[in-house]
Amino acid sequence: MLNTLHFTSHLLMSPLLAKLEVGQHYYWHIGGLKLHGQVFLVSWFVSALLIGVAFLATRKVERIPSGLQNFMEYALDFIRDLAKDQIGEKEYRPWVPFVGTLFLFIFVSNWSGALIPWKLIHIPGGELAAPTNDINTTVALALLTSLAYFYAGFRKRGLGYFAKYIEPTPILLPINILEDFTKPLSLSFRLFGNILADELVVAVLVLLVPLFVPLPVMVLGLFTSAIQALIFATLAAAYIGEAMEGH
Amino acid sequence: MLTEALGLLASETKGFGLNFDILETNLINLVIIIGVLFYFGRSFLGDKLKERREAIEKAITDAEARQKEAASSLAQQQQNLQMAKKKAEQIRSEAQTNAENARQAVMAQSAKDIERLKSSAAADLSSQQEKVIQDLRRRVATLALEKVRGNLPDALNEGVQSKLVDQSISQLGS
Repeated sequence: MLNTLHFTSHLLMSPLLAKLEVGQHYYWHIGGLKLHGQVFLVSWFVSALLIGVAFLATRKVERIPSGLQNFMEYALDFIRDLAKDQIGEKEYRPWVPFVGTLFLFIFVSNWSGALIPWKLIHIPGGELAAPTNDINTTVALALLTSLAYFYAGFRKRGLGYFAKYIEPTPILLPINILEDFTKPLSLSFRLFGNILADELVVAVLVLLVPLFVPLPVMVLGLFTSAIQALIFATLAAAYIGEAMEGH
Repeated sequence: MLTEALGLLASETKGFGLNFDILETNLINLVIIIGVLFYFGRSFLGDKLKERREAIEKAITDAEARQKEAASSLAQQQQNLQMAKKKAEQIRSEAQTNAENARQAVMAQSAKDIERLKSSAAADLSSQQEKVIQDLRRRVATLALEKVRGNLPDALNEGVQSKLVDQSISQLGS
């Protein structure tokens, strides 16, 4: 869909200004599959960053945390509180890693897309940006969330999980079934849309007025990026909690 | 124009490379925003982290103080326990000696009592025996006297009496 949405600014603007590319990808052909290489590259960067920071923070664990350890513990506290609020005191503990991974990966992805001057690095096709501005990434994350809440529901309630579909009344059965499809759809499109829109707005503004004018939008973008990460993680936790909750 | 040409050339070529077009890469804005973020984020996050660290430090020192207190009170209570045990031991041994003494006293007393009872019983017995014997004697004497008194009128008539008197007189005389 987006592959057709390719336009370059120098068709519209003066050729002096920069080029804006949407729907351009750096394709990797692996076994008949076309992979978006730039997404993989930045995802690996984000993963490496997270793993590296986590490794550095836990390398020398102190009793009274300081520096990086303190910061990472603060982040962990935040994630744990989030999971606890959504899933409940009793069941939240096994889901902290999943919710935390979602939050940290999305947050660092979004912010890396908004803060790191990726355009300094030129790649054969497309451009490096936040992995979450590619629909494939967000769909993957949303489907993982769906799997996670199905797993949570079945593990907690067995086949009784299906009773959820005719509650509170069997008339709602179609809507309840539909919800299983709308949940990943809304999760993935919300995140993808927000991040892509933000990057596009910034890119267009940079194209028009390169200096200072994009700054407020960039700050807003940082804010929305953080909020989107929070929303994704919160909703994932809420879905998991809802699946486990007995009526 | 040269940079633009180079940039275009770079974008045309199929391969990795670096793009040094400062305006196109949005470098200035990014540097500004990163700077602002660092400036405000550092103080905000620094405060938060300092707060957290202090809270943890306080919690740990509190816990340690409580632990120390608990340990000292445990030691105190153990000492108390030791003392109480010693006291209990002492009380027990005292009670044992008391019991021994009491036993001795009771036994001595009872032995004395037994002795006394025995002697009094013996005395009683002998006095009773004597009494019985006396009684018997008296009864025998009474019976004998009665019998004699009963026989006397038959056996003792004038002739015998005078004969007896005579005999007695003759005996006196000889």
